[in-house]
Amino acid sequence: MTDTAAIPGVLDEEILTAFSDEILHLIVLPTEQCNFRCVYCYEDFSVGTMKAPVVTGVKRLLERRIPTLRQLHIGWFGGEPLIAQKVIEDISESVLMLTRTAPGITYTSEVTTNAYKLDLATAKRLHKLNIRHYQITLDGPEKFHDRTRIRRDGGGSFQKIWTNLLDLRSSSLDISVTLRVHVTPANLDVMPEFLLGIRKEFLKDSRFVILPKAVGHWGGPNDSEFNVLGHAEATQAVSALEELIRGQAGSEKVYRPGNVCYASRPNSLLIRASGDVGKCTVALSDPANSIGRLLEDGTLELREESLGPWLRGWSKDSSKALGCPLVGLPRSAGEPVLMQIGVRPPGSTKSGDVEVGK
Amino acid sequence: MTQRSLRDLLDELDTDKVSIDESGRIRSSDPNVEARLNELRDLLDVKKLARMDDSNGSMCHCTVPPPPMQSGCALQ
Repeated sequence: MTDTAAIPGVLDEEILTAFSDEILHLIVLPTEQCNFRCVYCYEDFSVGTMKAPVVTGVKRLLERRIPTLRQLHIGWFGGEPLIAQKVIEDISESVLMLTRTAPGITYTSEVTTNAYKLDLATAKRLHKLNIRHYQITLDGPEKFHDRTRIRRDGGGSFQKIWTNLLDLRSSSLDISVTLRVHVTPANLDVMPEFLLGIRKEFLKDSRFVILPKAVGHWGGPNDSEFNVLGHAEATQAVSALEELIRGQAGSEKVYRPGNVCYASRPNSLLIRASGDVGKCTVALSDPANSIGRLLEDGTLELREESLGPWLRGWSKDSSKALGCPLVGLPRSAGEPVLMQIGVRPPGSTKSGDVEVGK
Repeated sequence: MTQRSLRDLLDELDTDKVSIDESGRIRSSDPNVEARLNELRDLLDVKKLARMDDSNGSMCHCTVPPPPMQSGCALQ
């Protein structure tokens, strides 16, 4: 016996749970439309709101699975999921009914939202539906945020999001909020002061944590028009900001993501608004990220050969792929490689301060 | 089972032959791979994993690590 982990940096429990049929993680896109046009967004908004047959398919799939599940985790993603609240409510009400008849199950749900429509009434409604975790992004102070997280009609979004956040904080709702704070060359200098403001307003509340993230060139049409931090700069900047938060507010206030991407887990599936099934929420246009379809009767029609490449990180000498199986994804002959997503070589990012989204 | 044997088990698991059935369950049409999957499942008895309440009284967390959110992504 040895005390060496089966995969360095990965808990054995995480390995085992990834292969468990008693655990199901669904990332559901109730719509792929958005009320924002963030300058760095990689989505093409080609799919609309989830249609009734797909909603029925999700409900029937869960009807079939819930009786034998120990853990169900549903993540709502988009597009902006809160512009399709009816879909979220429809599916969530069904899940709640089903989980009531399966008392052994742990059911959790989160939503990744821009929070523009997350007023307190909405948060209360979602809370009743067991949607109690939020990931919300800010791009720095209002002046900076409103240049990059632009509404579809061209207006700014900071004030409304900030008001919604303050209302959430003032509520007694049993929720947790990850404030994702985007770092760019443009806002880097003001970020320490901004985080002081965040600390003052939110970090005394145990429900709030911060996740600093560097903006990257994620494949959107504007990638050539804005600057991002290079890999080393980004790592350094994010570390410094994490340290700042830790020093001021305690280590528990920095969100620590795991080392295994959900896309590497065989029991994690992405259900798109169209009913297409995938693995990754970034490479939505990549043919390799389409592994099959969900039918109206709740059955999954998945191509047998399409899953393996996403799981290769569990194999010997491939564990680096666990963190991001999309990077270096093996492809069938003739299958196009999506150039828009990937790790750009050092030096390929532009430096300097160029305003974007004007 | 020791951690070493978990590594062995993963080494013997041909992930190219792992698939998802019509209900979303993890399966393989290859009997050897299916046997390895069953061994992995035998190692995890989720029912025995203790649950603990968050000390802040918020979400109930299992000892099993939760799936990472989108923010865990190495790309975005």
